[in-house]
Amino acid sequence: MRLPINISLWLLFLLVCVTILVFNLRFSYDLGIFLPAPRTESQKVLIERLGEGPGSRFLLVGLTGAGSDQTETAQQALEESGAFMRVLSSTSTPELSDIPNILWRYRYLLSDESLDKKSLHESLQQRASDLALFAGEEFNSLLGADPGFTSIEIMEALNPTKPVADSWVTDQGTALLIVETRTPAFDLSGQKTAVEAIQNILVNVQNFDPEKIEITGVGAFGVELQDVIQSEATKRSVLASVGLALVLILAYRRWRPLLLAGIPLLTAMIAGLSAVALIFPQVHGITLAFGFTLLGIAIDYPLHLFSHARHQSSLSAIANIWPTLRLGAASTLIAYVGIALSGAQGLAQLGIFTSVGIVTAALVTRWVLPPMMKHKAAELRFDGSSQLLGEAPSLRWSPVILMVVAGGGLMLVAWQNADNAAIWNNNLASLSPVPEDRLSRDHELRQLAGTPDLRHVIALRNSDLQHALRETEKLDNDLRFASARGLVGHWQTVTRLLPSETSQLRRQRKLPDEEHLLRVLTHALSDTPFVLAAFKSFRNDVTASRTLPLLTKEDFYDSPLQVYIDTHLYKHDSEWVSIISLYGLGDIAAFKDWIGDHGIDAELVDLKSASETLVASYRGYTLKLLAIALLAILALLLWRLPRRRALWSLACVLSVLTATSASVYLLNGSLNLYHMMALLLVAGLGLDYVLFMSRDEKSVDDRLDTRHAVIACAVSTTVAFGLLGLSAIPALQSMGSTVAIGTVLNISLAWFGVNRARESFA
Amino acid sequence: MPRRGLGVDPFLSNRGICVSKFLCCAAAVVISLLLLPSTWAAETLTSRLKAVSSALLNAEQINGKHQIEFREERYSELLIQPVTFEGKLIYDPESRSIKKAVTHPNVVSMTMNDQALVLETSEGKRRLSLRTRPALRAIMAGFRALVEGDVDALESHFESNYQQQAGEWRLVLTPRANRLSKRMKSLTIIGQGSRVDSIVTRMKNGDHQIMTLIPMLAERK
Repeated sequence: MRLPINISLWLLFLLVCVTILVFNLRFSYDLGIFLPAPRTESQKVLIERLGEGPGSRFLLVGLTGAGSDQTETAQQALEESGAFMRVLSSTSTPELSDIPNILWRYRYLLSDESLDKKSLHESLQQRASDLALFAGEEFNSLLGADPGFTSIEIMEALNPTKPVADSWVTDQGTALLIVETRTPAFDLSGQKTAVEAIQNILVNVQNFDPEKIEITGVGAFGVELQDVIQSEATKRSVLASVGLALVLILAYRRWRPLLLAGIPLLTAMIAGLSAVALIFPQVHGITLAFGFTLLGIAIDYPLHLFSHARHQSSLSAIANIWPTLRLGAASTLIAYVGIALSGAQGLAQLGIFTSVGIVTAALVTRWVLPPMMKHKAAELRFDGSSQLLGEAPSLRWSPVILMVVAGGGLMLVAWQNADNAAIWNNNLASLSPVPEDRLSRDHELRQLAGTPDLRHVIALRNSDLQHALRETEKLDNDLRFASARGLVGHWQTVTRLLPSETSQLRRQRKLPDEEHLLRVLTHALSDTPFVLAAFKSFRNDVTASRTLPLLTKEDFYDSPLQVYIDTHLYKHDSEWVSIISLYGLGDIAAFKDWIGDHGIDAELVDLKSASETLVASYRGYTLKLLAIALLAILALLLWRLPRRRALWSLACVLSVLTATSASVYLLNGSLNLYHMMALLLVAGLGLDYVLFMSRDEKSVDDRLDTRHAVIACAVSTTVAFGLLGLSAIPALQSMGSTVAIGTVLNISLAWFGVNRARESFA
Repeated sequence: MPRRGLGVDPFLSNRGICVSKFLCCAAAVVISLLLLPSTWAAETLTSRLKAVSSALLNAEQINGKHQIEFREERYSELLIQPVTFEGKLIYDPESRSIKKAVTHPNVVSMTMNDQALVLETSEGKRRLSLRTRPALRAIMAGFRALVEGDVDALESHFESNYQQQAGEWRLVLTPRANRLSKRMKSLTIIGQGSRVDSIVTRMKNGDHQIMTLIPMLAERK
């Protein structure tokens, strides 16, 4: 069989797209690319540190009812698996089996420990009392090279947990282990592997009761949400598809349309995805989720065709409706291109995905679908017998005004009901909330182990690395005053490992020369049981430290200490950012004031409020773009349509948007990002309906077909999204309910907004 | 020279505390002798130890804990002259833990049970797992074997050699486990008749310590 050229081209196009997908499609789950360019310091830190904050790689493993024996075997098994960076418990203070070379070599440049007679003498006395407990070669060598235990003190300052209790067991008898993952928290696939590995080791190897294992932490929550959302989304999508299929069967009483209806949508998705995969190195998971939703409009295009093909051949039907369909698609395209230009990479992906998808769906409906449809000439009733319509339908303004008034009224009611009167919900957490009890559990376990505060850090930035390090050192020193006031428990800075060159030089100059050190040591040794000869390594090492090249950031490359450096120091654009992690915060407001009054260009960053302002600015920016897109759409409509019809169409869309937002606001108490995406789709669908309903139809049959098509579109959309809206997942619930409500309002307005008094004869 | 494998737990907060694989074996063995049960096989060695244990079990008990005073002399190439410590060894049968409580010249202590070692100095308290410290763990295993009268288990950790000469007997224990034998040469328990006089710990690097049990001294006088 010879394939029509259209279909051959379409198949070829699909082949190209699939090839692109096979070679180029990479997924990412880095939320950062979905956020717009940050504007404030806090926002910058948020974007840069998303998922990389101190302690964010910790998975907290609670073992209910496990004794210390069991906890230890569990720890051992997890450690031996090699799947994790390290496994911490209250007894195994984090252990590096060796003191890293770099730290050992530079120990006298990393510490302010002074090597004068008095402090040396004190150290030696302390070592003498240690002899009661320790013996052996290792102790002797450490003592001989580092009598002040300077190296141990430096390592101690890097400890990420500061246990508040002797043992990590809650009052209810849950023992705690901390697993530090190799991948950052935002890498959900890595986190998922880690969580599964923990469960597998504990349940299958250690025979723990899975009921008694709980895993919390940033990564664990991310994985849980992803799992729940994925399974729920799959379930709901299947349900929605079944609903859609039933509506289509009911509308067309045939199987074929059901199969054909999916062709434009699927082609659109494949084409959109290929475009994104081609342009961007990675496709974000959210691009897919939002993108598929926004492409929901593509299911309407074939429905218009099918309905009109009831009374005429598919080819003439498409020729008949193409101008209207094209106009609707072009308007939608303008809005989606607007999203693509928003600046954030994630939104750009979404915009490109949907723009390409819309164009593809329209083209496939125009050129590929008609040849695939059966031409049952016998059934066609468009043979001239149908009455011709002379006049264009008249458009009514009253329903539009009614809709605006109703929407405004609803908004007022909602406003009065809402306590805080905040229309927009800026909380990132509300988009994917972890159940409250899980969060408080996580908090409880973290308290037990004394891990760093996840929400607050101090950020200090400067274009000059050394300057940034010097200021960090000053702040490190001054924070003692804040600590004395109970504002903060303790803190960690990058300068514990990477002091400024100034400090290194100062320490280097302070180190005694060989002769001087010998004198000091000889004095310090009086009253102690030690012989001078034992400290030969110490003398050599101190002398060598005097001429060491200064320590740089690069020296830590590939050392076990690299993660510590990376967590506390990074470069953004041309600026160096030094992060101070905080433990045991007291009065946040007072602490913020203290830092503000401190005179250093440092800021207490609250990652939660930063995320909120970010969402707000994200939305504000998107709204501005959409306003511009709206003007462009208006211009397009005015160009293609009579002025009255253009204005009326746009007014319909806007009034439905108002009423839908008001309804959702009334139901939810606030609007979030998902609602906004859904409103975009509502606008696109609405414009489609009013454009079709206000068409200047040629005949009664044509008009009946239009109404049939619009009804089929509206009912199928309402059913499909209504089913999604019944989900308990906030994202699906928000999107589904908004689109369902919007569609009902859309169809009502499109229906009653067009005067069809003269049609009664039909 | 950069040092690797120091075996020091790098996260210890207190400068005075540096444990890891350093040994505290004498305490374990002495205390285990306090409690030797009467299940030893009827051989010279075991019957001798049985007598010793029953004598020692009559040692002073406070709150159900067995206590014995000691004086320890520490010999090392690091030291000008031997350093002397005094204190008490305490065994708590309930938690099966042993404690070496040094009272002179400074107050420091270490308590060890199956899982962990707790160190206390003037600078604070720190709990350490034995899991990552195999040498200490081997000692604890040996200790448990002694307490439980499990000659086989004891022999699996130490090679034992019993010598008797003119009224004085010596039980020489040599560690079998590589991790321990790398550091410790031998543990010698010296006594007369049914009495334990002292315990000598010899390290591989030549350091050694001699612990003398005070009740024995008193009895001698």
